[in-house]
Amino acid sequence: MGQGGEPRRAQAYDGELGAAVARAQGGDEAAFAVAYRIVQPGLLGYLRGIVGDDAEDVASDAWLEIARDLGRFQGDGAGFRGWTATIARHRALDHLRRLRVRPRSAALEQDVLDLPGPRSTHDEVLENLSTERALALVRGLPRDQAEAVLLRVVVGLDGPSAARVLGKRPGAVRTAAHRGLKRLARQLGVEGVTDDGSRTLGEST
Amino acid sequence: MGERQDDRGAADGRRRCVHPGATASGTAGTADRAGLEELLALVLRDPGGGPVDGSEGEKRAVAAFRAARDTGAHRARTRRRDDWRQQRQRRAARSLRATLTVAVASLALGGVAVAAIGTVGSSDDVSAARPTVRASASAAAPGGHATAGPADPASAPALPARPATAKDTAARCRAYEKAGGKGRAMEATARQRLIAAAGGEDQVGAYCAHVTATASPPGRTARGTTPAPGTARAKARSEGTDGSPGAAASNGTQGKGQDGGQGNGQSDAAKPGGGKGP
Repeated sequence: MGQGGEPRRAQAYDGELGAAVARAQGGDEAAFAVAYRIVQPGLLGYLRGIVGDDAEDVASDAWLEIARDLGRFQGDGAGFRGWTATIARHRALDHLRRLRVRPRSAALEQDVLDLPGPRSTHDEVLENLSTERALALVRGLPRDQAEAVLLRVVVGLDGPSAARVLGKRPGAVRTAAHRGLKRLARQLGVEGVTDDGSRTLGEST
Repeated sequence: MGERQDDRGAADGRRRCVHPGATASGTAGTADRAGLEELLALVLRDPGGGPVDGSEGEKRAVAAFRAARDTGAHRARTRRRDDWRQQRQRRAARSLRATLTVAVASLALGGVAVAAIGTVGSSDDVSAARPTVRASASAAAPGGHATAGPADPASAPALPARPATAKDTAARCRAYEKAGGKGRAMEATARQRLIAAAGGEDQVGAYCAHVTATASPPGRTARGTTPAPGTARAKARSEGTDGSPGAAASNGTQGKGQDGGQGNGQSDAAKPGGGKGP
């Protein structure tokens, strides 16, 4: 399951990303732009989950550092995701430290808790789930769970890479991601799908 | 993660009731979770922004890239946190590094061992050369050896052990001399050993003089020819101090003097006549 879904999809780009990074390290700025376009959406999604509306600024800072330190990096496309996520995370934590603001507020969870009916199907959830709501849900999670979910699902890291970004043991991160996803599923009412919609979902993978 | 999922499925009684068999519930949970992950990725990965905003940040990033490239920042060294190669590659690189480290360490240790062999060998040479010198000296002056003083019999049996202990004893003697025979100044253990070696506290002076004399080879040859041991000692002592630049010799210069003495020992064994000179 951990390797299913998004990480596998991210892997499809990882070959392209690795090649782009290698060319960029050779000095090709067009290749660097390609790498940016592949990595930025996930990075921004992750940062939104941590710093909210300041994600763009933090991402911009992170990219300055990424652009500067690119020569130091060693690894493939998947490694580049992890490396950039680590840099982005450090920038985000710096940002939070500067602001002295908690990344989450309790008020968010109130908006979040108007859940759909427990019987809604996967498609209905998908149709109804806005970016804002999904973000609010994720940010409503405990911090470690939110980060684990975002790194795994949105950035597309595998377990060990996510653990390395967070500076934790892979087992702890796996547990956190699992709990986070479970809680999200419950809040979204997707869990009810397990009983009557498992056939459709099974086909969708 | 699959096994985990199965475990959770097994723990979750409700699901098991619906789907007979742990694997069935496991795959259902997996599919469910995968769908949720996909959903979240879809919604969260490309939030709001749009391509225009992205290209703005992209321009900035590329400009930073260009600046870094042109100033040579991209030639910086890879730090540990920049190494995101696959675990296996990294482990291979690490084990290569470990192997190299071990190799270098063993070479260094081996070098020390070889050096130690050399030291022992050279001091063996000295002690091997010594009896011949002594024999010739006593042959030249039959009475010389007998008049060598009370400390001489003590040093005669000690001769075979000399390579190991001579330096220590000499060092203790120097420390003793420096401390002027006052107890505290010298480390108690070393002092006790010295007294034990000398065979009594009042013997230490004589013993040390003898040790110093035998440690520096000119004294050794001189002892054989000169009838009075006292002058031999005095001679050896004066030679010892002559070797060091100042009268109040520091530890460092004393150490040099000792090394010089050893060096002389080897060369002196080859040409004993040099020792007989002034």
